[in-house]
Amino acid sequence: MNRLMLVDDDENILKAMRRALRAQGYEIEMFRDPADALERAAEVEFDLAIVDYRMPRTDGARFLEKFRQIQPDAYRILASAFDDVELFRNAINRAQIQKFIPKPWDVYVLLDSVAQGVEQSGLHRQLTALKRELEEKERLLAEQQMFIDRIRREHPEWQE
Amino acid sequence: MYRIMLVDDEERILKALSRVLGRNKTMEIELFTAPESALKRAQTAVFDLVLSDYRMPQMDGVVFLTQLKMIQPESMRIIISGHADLNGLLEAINQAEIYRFISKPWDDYELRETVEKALAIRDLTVENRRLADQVRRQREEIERHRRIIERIEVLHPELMNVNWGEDGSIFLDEAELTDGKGGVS
Repeated sequence: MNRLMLVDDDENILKAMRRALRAQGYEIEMFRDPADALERAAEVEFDLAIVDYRMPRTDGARFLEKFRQIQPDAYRILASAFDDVELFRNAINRAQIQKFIPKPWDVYVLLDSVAQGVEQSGLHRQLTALKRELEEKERLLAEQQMFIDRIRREHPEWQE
Repeated sequence: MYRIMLVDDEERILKALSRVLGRNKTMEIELFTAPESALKRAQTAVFDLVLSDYRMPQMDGVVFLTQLKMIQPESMRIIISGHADLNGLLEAINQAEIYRFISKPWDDYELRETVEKALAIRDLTVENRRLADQVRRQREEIERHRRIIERIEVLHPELMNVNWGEDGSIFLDEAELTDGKGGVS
């Protein structure tokens, strides 16, 4: 099951978003306080985060920048009203946000963006795991090779 | 450089689409007004993404993309159509495994974004497949090594004894050399 993180200081927004997404079978965690959300991000893996831009102590882009450092494979969506487009552009580049959802959102756009994001983060995670596996195998292969070479060197009588 | 194929019987639409997408300089775009010639071209060149109109006189977009999928299963397929064609489009999802729909008239920003995201997904998929193949080859190689080491062990247990721990700089644990973790996972 894919785990989503929703961060917004407005509880009503959180609930409305959860209502729209829950039917798709996502496991959803909601946070009104970005600090709590970051703390949680250090504990469990999320596939995707949707974060409000305007929040009292921090903005969504700054939050996602930190979130990205903790969970680089998770897909990052910034949600906001359209009034600060310029601000966004900077924010999006800085935090490498993959998607922007205008508020109020269209349910179809929301679901579609989330589905796409979850797919992409799944692929990223697969890529990360494959890279790690490649490295481990590379190491094991080198060790085996070293051992076999040593046997060959020290025991030329050994026949394969 | 990505190679993109656009198919629509209306030349005017093709030009408009390619104008929007052409702003991205990483895309090499080829235009086709006839699905048949597009299919012929797909026999000789690999396309990362194919965007096709739904309603075309000779062949509808679903039939076209289904055939294209058989020639190039790894291309990302996008269909573009008016809202009235919804029923036909549902069939498209199943038959041609369409990645996305774009409705006509389209929004330029949305069109670009959809195509770029599709290409990103394709890049990841291709890269994952490449790495998975590499891991598979490594597994075979590890297995081959494991068999050699096993033979050494069976035929010449004294070699194992001599060599284990002889060189302190290389730590070789027998369990690790014939490890299931590497070989079987």
